[in-house]
Parts: sequence; C-alpha cells; structure tokens
Amino acid sequence: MKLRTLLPGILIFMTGCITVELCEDSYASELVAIFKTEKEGETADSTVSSLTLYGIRDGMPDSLLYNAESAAGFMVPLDPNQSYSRFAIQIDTLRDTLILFHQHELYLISYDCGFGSLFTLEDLSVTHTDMIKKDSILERMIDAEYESNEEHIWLYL
Amino acid sequence: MLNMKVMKNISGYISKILGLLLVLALCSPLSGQDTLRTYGPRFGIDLARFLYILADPSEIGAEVSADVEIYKNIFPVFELGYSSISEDEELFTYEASGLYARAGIDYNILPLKDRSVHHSISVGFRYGMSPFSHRIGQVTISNSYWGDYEAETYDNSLTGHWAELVGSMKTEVLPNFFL
Repeated sequence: MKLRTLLPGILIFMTGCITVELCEDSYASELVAIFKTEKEGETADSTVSSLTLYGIRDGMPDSLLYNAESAAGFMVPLDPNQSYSRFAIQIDTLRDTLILFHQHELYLISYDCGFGSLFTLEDLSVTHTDMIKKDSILERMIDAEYESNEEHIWLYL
Repeated sequence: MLNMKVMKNISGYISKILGLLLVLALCSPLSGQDTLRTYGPRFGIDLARFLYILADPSEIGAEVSADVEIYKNIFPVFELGYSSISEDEELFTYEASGLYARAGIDYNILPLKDRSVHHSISVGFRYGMSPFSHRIGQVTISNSYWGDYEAETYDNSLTGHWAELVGSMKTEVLPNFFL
C-alpha cells in the first residue's frame, strides 16, 4: 500500500478516543462511627443490642436512619446546608444527642459524575456522658466516595 | 496586567529561540547538496476541530499552525488556537474558553533518500500556554435526607502552561498539500 494512502488512514483512525465513566448511584458523604469500649487501657470493638438513630432536621419531620436490634456502629449523611449535623441517638434505653460540627466544600468527582461534598469534621459533642463516655476523631475528611474500611469516629460506650 | 507581561516575556523568549535556530542553521557548514533545504514554510489548519463540531457541538475551536524546515529534518513549529466548551449537565453547567499557543520543534525520522518526496514522520516537543476563563454554575448536590444543596456560581480566569511530547505523520496527498 502506498504511503500516501496509508498515512491519512492512520491519521483519521487516531483522531480521537472516547471514554465512558460509570458513576455510582449515590454520592452521599457519610460519616462512619464505630462503637468501642475501653477497659484497663485496652480498646475493643463493641456491639449494642439496640440502636435507634435519626437526624434532627429543622422544619422537617423526623426520619429514622437506624432502627436496628444489633449494631457495631453506624453511617450517617451530613447536612451540607448547615455547619453542623445533629442526631438523636438511643442505645438500649439511654438517649442522647450527637452533634457533629463540620465545614463543607465541593469537589469534582469527575466530569461525568459531577460534584460531591467534602466535609471536614471539626468537633463533635454529646449532650450527656451517661451513654457515650468518650469520643475520638480518626479521620476528619469525609468525602462522597465511600471505601469499605473507612472509620471517621469512635464512640466509647 | 501581570499576564500580559508574562505573555510578552514568553513570546520574546520564543522569538529569540526561533531566531537563534535560524542563525545556527544559516551559519552551519553545508556538507551536501541536500543539507539545507529551501522549501518554504508550511501553513496548516487542524481539520479535526471541525469533526469535533459534528461529534460534539458543545466544543468549538480552531487551530492554525506554521512550520519551516530550517535544517535537514528539523522543523520549528508554532501553533495558535482557540477553544471553548459549554456543557449543560444534569447536576451542573460548565463553560470554559480561551486562546492557546504552542511552540516547539519537530524532527523528521522518516528516512527518505529521494528528497523530492516530502512525507514525514516526526517526533518533537511543544511548550504551550493558554490564558483562559471558566465558569461552573447550577451545581446541585443531591441529598435525599437533609435536602439538596445548591452551590453559588464559581468563575475564575487562569493561565495554564504545559509541555507536550508530540508524534506526527504528514503525507503530501497533493502537490504542496499535506494531511
């Protein structure tokens, strides 16, 4: 094949490539909390026999996030419209309010999948210390791309 | 203002480099009849840009280029273009536009004994620079529990710099017409 025939063919073939990216169904930025116990300086995983959890939403009705008979932790979405997210939490018969203080910014996941929320956890507090005796922040950055081994906070019971 | 100064400096450097290459070429000893070719400059247009308009109308652009063989198989190249994109996605809109320029050198690696044949396979490099602006609007973060979040419009003007390694092929399909 003559060069003057071959080269234009190769040029046209190599003009461009198309990539298609698959997006997740949901890009909710969720905080992962794990229950822990501490005895004699040793930290161990803990499982509660009953967990009820819902977000305290201004001007909106309560909507349960968890109503589980057994749980070693929980995942909750954070409020992008406020600088905090409040949750009513009940473990067995004890009730408390968990407040997570955070900053919120956007980041580009990809051109196809759009933007996601990136929260920076600044602090957390509980109303009483009867149930959650201590807390620990492991990872302050909470993004929209969940990984199976993510843990953001430990709550010591 | 600062960008204008940077652009002037960069274009000054490019002019000096091209001038230096030209002087080197003219001052080099001629070892054979075909060492310094006398073919004139080539001017080009990026046809692929017109194919983009057919394939993706949201992307508009044009690019022209010029090169000249100043020494055997060595082609300084200058490319000037404009590109704009306007996307209306489900969760955001994005617009960007700007001029860009690239300057560099191609080296023809195609061994042709007959110098009247002008096909080439080249490798080379480019330095690129682009002052551009972009704007992101109507960003919505879907949140079924707390309520959707709608972000403010973001726009910014930037200047980008980059380097490219380039491979290219040119064939003279008609006299003095290359593809």
